Amino acid sequence: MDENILKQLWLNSNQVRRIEINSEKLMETINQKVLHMDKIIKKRDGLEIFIAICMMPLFVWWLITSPQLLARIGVAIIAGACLLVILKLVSARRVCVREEIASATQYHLMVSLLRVQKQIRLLSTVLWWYFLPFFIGVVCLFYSYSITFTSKAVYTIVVAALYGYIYYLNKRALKKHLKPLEGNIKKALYELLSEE
Amino acid sequence: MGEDLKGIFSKIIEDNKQRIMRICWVYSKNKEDQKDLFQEVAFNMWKSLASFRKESKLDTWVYRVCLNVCMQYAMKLNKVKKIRVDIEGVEIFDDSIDLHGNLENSEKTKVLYECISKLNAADKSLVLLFLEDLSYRAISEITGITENYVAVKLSRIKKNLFNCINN
Repeated sequence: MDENILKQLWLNSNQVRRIEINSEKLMETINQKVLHMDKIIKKRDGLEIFIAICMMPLFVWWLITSPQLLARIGVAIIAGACLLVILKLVSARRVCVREEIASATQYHLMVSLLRVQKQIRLLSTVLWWYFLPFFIGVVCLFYSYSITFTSKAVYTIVVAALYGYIYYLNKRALKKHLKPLEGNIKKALYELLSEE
Repeated sequence: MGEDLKGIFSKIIEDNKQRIMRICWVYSKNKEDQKDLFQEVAFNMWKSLASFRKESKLDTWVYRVCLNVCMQYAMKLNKVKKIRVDIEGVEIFDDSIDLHGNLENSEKTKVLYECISKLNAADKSLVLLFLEDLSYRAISEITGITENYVAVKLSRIKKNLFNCINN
C-alpha cells in the first residue's frame, strides 16, 4: 500500500449527507455560555466580597490596637482596599438597560453585554484599585515588624512577584475569555437585531 | 459587522463538513463524541469567525481551529469528565457516518482508522493533515512547526503507520 492509496482511503472514508445549522439554537448556546460565565463571575465576586467583609473587622481591630505607625498605615490601607473591592464588585453587577427591548433574549444579551463590559473595565484597571493598595498595605505592615533589610527586600520581591503573576492571570482571563465573550454577545445581538 | 456572518458560517461548515467530520472521528471515542466534537468545532469557528482576518487561507484556518478543538477535547476526555455546556444548533442527520459501529467502508479503512487512533495527539494531527493531502508547508503553517521538522516527523509516523497497517 502506498501513500496515495492511503490518502484516497482516508479522503473517501466518510459520507456526510446533511448537516443542519439552527441559528436559533446557536444563539441559545451563546446565551447559555454567557450565563455560565456570569455564574462563575458571580461566584468569584461573592467569595471575594465575603473574604473582604470577614477581613475588615480584623484589620480595624489591628488598626486600633497596633502601637506602630507604619503598621497602622498599612492596616488602614488594607481595610480601605477591602472596602473598595466590595464597592467595585457590587457596582460592577449593577447595570441599567435603557434601550427599547424587543425580546427577552435581546434584553438578557444586552444586560450580559453591559455586565461583561463592566468586568472588562474592572479587570483592565485592577492594578490601581486591587493590587497596588494591597501591595502597599502588606509591605507597610511587614516593614513595621521586620528589622533586617534582607528580609524586607526578600518579602517585597516575593509579594511583587506573586501579585505580578496574579495580574498576568487577570490579563490572560481578560484576553482569553472576557473579550471573546464580549465579541460573541455583540455578534448575537447583531444577529437578533438584523432579523427584526 | 455588515456582513452576513450566519451565511458565511453556514457556507464554511457546508464546504468543510467532510474534512471536519473525518478529523473529529479520530479524536472521538464513539459516534456521540464525534457529534459533540463536530458541534464544538462549529461553535469555535463561529466564535472566531469575526476575528478571522483572511491573513491565512480559509482551509488553513479551518484545520487550525478544528485541530485545536479536537486536541483540547482529547485532553478533556482523558481527564475526569468535566461539566460543560452542551452545544446545540448544529445537527448531523445521517446514520451512515457511524464509523465506529456500522462500517460501510472497506476493511482497509477500518485498519487505517485504528492505526491512526493508536498515535498520540500530536502525531495524529500531523498524519491527519498529511492524509488530507496538504503540503508540508501548509502543515507547517497549521501546526506552527518548521517544514523540515514536519518532514522528519512525518517520515517516522508514516513508517509506523505502514507497519501497523501491514501487521
